[in-house]
Amino acid sequence: MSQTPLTRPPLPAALSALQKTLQQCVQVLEQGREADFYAFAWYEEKFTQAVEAKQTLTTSVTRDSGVVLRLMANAVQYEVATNALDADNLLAKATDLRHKVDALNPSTIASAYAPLTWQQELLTPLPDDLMAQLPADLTPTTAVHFAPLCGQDPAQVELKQLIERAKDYRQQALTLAGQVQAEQSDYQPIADVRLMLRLRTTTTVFVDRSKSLSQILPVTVLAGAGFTAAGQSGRIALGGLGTLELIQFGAIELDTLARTPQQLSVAERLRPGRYMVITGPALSGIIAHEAFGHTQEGDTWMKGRSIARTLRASGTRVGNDQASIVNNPALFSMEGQAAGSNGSYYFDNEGQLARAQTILDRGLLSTPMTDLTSALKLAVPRTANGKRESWRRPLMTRQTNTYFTPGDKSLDELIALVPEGYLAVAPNGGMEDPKGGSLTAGTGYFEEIRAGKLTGKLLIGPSGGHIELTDSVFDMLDNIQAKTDVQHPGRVPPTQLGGCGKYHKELVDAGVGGPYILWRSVACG
Amino acid sequence: MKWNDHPALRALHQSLTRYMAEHADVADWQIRAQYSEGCQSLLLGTAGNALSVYQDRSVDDLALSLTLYCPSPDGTLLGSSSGSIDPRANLNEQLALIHSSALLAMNPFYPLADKPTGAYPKVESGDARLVNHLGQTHADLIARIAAHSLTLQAVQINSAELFSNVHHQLLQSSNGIDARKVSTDLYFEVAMERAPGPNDQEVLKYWHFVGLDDADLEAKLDAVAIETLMTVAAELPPSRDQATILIDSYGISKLVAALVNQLDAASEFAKGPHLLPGDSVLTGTPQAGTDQLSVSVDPSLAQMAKSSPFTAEGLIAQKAEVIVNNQVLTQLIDARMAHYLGKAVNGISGNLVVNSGSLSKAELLSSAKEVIEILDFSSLLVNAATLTWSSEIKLGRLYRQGQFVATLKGGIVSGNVRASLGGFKFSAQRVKRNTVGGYFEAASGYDGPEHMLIWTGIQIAGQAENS
Repeated sequence: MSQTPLTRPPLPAALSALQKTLQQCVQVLEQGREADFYAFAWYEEKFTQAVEAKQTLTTSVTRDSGVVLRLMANAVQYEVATNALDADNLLAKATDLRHKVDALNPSTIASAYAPLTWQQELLTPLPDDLMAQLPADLTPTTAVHFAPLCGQDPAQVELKQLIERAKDYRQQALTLAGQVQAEQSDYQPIADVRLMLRLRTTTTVFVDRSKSLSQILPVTVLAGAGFTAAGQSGRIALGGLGTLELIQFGAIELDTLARTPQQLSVAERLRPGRYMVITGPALSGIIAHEAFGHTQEGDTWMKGRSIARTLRASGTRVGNDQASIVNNPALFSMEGQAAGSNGSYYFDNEGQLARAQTILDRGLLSTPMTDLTSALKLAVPRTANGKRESWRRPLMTRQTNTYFTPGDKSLDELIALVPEGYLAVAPNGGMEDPKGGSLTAGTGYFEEIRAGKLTGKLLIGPSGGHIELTDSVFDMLDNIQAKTDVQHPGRVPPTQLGGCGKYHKELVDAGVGGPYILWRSVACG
Repeated sequence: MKWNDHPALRALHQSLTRYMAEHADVADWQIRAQYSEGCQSLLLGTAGNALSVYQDRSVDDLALSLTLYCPSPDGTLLGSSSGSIDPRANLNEQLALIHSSALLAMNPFYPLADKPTGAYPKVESGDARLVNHLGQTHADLIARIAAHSLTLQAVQINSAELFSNVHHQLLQSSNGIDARKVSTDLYFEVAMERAPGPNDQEVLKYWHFVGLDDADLEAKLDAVAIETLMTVAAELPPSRDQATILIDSYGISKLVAALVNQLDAASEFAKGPHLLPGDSVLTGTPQAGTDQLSVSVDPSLAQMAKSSPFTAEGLIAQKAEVIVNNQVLTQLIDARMAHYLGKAVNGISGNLVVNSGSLSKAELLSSAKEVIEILDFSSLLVNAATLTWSSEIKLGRLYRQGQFVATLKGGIVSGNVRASLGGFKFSAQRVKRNTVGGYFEAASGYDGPEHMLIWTGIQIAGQAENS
């Protein structure tokens, strides 16, 4: 069978004109004060086609776009953000912002920031997927465009395709659910299966005095749940950086939607306590994200809200030799998928080019992930972690794709190491206390392991809901007993779709991943 | 902001009229428009609690969206789809895209909400000072925060955030609905730790306000400072199969909101867990000494997050008692669900008003042998289907016989809302709180007791007593 060749979506022609306007805005913002001001312009567009299939079918097609004009002076980031995008309005906004910042900073400011030129940038190696897309002649005004390899041009994907798939998958799940119910009448039947299929194509343009960048990031997501009338559910989330070729709906997903909720309807409740637990890739990733992900965010360091700064300064080991965590925006393939996750991009919201960073190396902390403000304030290297929920919201240091590095065991070998414990594969959120050094991560249910084998028995939380896993981060990371291996040449484990609200707001995409990990002892309840 | 003269809205109406004249299968439409202005300040604490702004933003945002409705020729189905409208792009092409999408999404027919026969009531959904003087008001609030921060002793402010917003909203439909409101909101967040450091604990608190009168920023800063000074020598909570806990209005509002969500007729239609008139909201038998729950839904309260003259469909928003003495009186039924379920539409929506108890907080704490007061949850997420919840304890206090014993941190507390209603007491003291809403929390307004003591359906996984 012949395969459709993969292509990289080009930048729409209409945005080339906008790039020129944004360059003019940057000139207005900086002109005459390049020595002490630094400015950039950022355009963001999210074109979303979405289908929700449940008892009723809901569709929507939305395009949200806006511009942020940034002027930095005396370590303060002044921004105006608007979605009135005509050139006259943008130039007027730039002029007003310049006047405001001039008035606040009438005299020259020392130690201003100067962005890296392309020549300086390339002194540090870039990931292959970025290097492959760089044109030969790189000047400050060279339009550099990045996009992932896709099975389809995202601009050509039609809502009809999404609808057909969503309806088909839902019907498959309902059919299987009926078969399961016929075989197991003691189960509570499935009340419904709800599926959401979405293609969101994010196009961004960044312009400052050194670079003119653009990128197109299509992210396809299939998410949903089967549930019983009492609310027991099985959830799926598939997809990544690319188009519909990434939605491989198979037996595992069908079972999760159709069989798992029915099994949970008769599941026993877990007695709260400490247990050996094996976490699946997504749950391992949530723990990575929470364990030393948030703690290693530069703005959290900058505000004195993270314990990591003093721990790094003192060289304190915070986990055992298996405790290695990577944050990687330049993730464009992984174990089991020749595409990135939803935290992948080529440059961040401040134009910083993507490179992987090991934020915890065998128990030892690195310098933090940063945005521009925190890098300057902390005098540490910049990384590509400056992100915002949308053009409407402020920029913060945020994670991209966070994962534990793989180990050397198979899953069967891991299970064989467990005399009495549980396998947890269904993620259900997480939270971290960067100052207090504790974390919590949820799972929908446990699968029982006895004498090194899965028994097939499922357990739900003590109150009949999900199960929460919690511990001090240090105890957690010191309790990693073993991890599974991967075959990916770059040693990137499965990294699944994820989202992050910093503390409780500012939602951004953030992939989470890792191998299966065996934890010697975790508090569960 | 005058929608009547707005060029983008006028152009959309003109295009829509032309388009519908050419496409007879488009029977109805609904337009939503919102123009928002915002000021956002991110602040960094420095020595002596002098705060400095490190991110200073202003935002203006015009959002237009359109839904088209296309009934099938036999009238049994209705296709509909929604899409954003970009005023700069070709409107006819955007209408055609929404139209074609609507034809792909056919559902059982339902009529759109009728235009109300009377006028929408006046509801104070915003604060005129924010509406008329957003920038200056925001600057004044920053100045208040900065000035009061300097007065705080023995604590270090690590960071703070203040967002001030004004939203002008419009809802119009082809059957004559034309509903408008102006709303405002403030978001204030502060993180503190004890001074001098180093510390391994901090207190992070945040609030949403609709108007300036509720934005008692100085009092909030003082309260956080007091809580911060308690963050000493914390220990794990004791493990308990049946724990007694005290939660505050943050937790109460989350639990009650999840429960009331099951009174929404959409929950019945979805075939998931739901409650019907006559149902008891608790599972099991009520224990001796327990209070009973009564809840009203009220859209008319001044300056609260769910105050509005109209519902999402454009009906006049109605106030009603929905739970009285643990029994469901009525569901919340919109026009679509009324048609689907064969029920009468009632347009009930708004803020949650919860009955008070009779005891003070101190009396609640001393009414049980052992009480664990949860000051902060790490992440309190209530499962809307199972009504179960679970969270790590970020900060708590252990009381025995009403006397403080220890500061707590860590461990997992879990519960079931309906089981907990079998054994609980509300405080006499009342409080209002608002959640503007976002990805993580639905908008909610809460007017009810400040504290709730719960002694049924609560488990804690913490320190084993014999270890």
